[in-house]
Amino acid sequence: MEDLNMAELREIIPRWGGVSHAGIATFLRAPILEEVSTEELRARKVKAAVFGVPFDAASISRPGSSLGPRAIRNSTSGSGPYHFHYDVDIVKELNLHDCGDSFIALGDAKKTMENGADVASEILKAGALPIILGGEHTVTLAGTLAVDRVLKGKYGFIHLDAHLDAEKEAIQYFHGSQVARTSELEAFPCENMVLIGQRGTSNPKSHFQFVKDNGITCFTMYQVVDIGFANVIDQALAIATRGTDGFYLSIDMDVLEAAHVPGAQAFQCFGITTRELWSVLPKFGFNDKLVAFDVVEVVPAYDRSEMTAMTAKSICIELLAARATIVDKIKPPPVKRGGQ
Amino acid sequence: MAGLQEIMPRWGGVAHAGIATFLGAPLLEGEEVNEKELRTRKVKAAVLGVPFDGATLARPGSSLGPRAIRNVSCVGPYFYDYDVDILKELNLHDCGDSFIALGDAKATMENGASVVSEILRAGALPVILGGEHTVTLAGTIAVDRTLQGKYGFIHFDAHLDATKEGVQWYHGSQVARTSEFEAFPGENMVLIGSRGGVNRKSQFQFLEEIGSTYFTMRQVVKMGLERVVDQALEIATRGMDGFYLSIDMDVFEAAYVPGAEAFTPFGITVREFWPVLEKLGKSDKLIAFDVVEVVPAYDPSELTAMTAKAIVAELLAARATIVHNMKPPLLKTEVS
Repeated sequence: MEDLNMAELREIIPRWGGVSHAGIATFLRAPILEEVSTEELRARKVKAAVFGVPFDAASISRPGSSLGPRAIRNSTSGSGPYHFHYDVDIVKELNLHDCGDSFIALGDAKKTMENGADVASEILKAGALPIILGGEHTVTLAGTLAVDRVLKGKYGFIHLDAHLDAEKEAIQYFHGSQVARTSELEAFPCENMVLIGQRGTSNPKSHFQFVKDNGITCFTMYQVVDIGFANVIDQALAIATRGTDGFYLSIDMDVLEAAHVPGAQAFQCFGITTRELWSVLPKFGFNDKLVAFDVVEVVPAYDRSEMTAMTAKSICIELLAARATIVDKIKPPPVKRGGQ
Repeated sequence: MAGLQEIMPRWGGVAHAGIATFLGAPLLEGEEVNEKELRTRKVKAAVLGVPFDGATLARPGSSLGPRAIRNVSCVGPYFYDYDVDILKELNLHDCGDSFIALGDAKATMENGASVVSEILRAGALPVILGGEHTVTLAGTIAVDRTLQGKYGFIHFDAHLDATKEGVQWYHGSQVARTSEFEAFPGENMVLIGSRGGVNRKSQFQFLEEIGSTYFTMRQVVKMGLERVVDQALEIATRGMDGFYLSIDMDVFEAAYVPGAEAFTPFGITVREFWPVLEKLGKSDKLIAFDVVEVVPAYDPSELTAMTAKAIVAELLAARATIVHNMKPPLLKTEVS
């Protein structure tokens, strides 16, 4: 066993030899590719690639989400690549790769997002689906900046979060402004942006005003309860894909009921349940318009049970498994001439 | 702090900066908490902690509850669903913590009642943060002493807390003690969410004897919480001048409150509770409330404290929508 490499370990684990937490914790034991380039991703026929942005330096609330990507990867070691419900091997079907973490420019949120966008851009140019693990919610910008730079056309934006994150002015780059910053990018028309699950006292009136003034759609949590979550998602998908070339999906763990995510950075009562979320994840995963997604704001220090990281991992797995069933029929979104 | 309140809504600095008063409200401590000062400041609601857990038979540590709740309360004061700024509308103040007489539950409750009485006399809504459930007495003693008339009592708790004899002052007897006060007729008291093996038959018997109503958790599941609370409000306000509300965090399903002092499975969910908070908070008959039994040491996630804070914020936001159209309950001094 001393010469066991990752490839062999991947073969062995599903046959239940050894412990699941043995070996290097890449996402779902996917091969590592830390020198990320379009050419290399294409050569390996990668259809989906995970990377982390371990950044929490522009957080106003409980710090520590920079340890999120590592906690999520650790948690994936407990899962095999085969998903029974969809009868697919996620790692094989998608040639899933783990691209490590993008470089953190200490104390510089904007530069850090640019670095993340460089990685996401390579993945997009290779025609693969980028999956971004946070980190604080600012890291969405690593994804949306890349889409804006690299892809041709217009894109919708769906944001599941207890908060609007629509700060226009005070601070340009922090985990409460990335929706406003994304709305300023040419690729993301406001009328195709949808925010879902807002509640509690940490949404200032000015954010609601910004959303309203710009024609962004918002479903607060009380509306979600009234209309039903599945119904809201159907409407959100219609809005985000109407006349666009695809849509970006951002999931802040605090959209879930606090009891499901005790380690979410800004957790809130009266959220959606995992039961509700699970019933809509296939709607996203089976949708060939999905161009990238992120899952953010896991703070391992507040959650000895690892429940929050485990839930974040499971969300990624559900989305990837659904994606794996349609990946052979998907046409990747059009890339701008010359890349960027 | 005043500066921070201005800054936070505009997103400067971090949420956990500065002195942790409840929701960043201005502080009024010790002798400053008096009717005159509260009236001068036009305070309509005031938060008070009673960090006491010295008469607890279950998991100790709830005396650290008020501090944990304040720590997690440093978020914005604006509440979208009702379009109100809680701090501004209520002139909310944090009155710090009442004095703890170490080892003396009764004297500690008397101390708490002195502070609550000042708040009531100023025509404001007292909000009491526990501490163990005994601290309800800081509120009900004050009502009995200070207010004219009769008051209902609504108690959300996995436990009845209706020990008539045995220990007089502890976190399993405050419902019985409250029922002995002139201001609180037994037939206007309602207990919701009782379950598990800790509730003794003698307590059920006691409640039946004094004509109180209880909805056990099985009844809540059968009827639905909203219907139960509609009935509870009807009972607690029938012929009354107002009602007192007490919320023990263990009324919730244990998964929502891992740090509740005596947490118990088969409780109500947050989703069930939020719509009834609106009913309770928008009732102009609500004269005071407490939220109790957060034990931070059992809950590194802060989930229990955060949920307690959110309950208080929901109730205060609902209150803020009606505060300008309501008359505070009559004081005893106004009779004579």
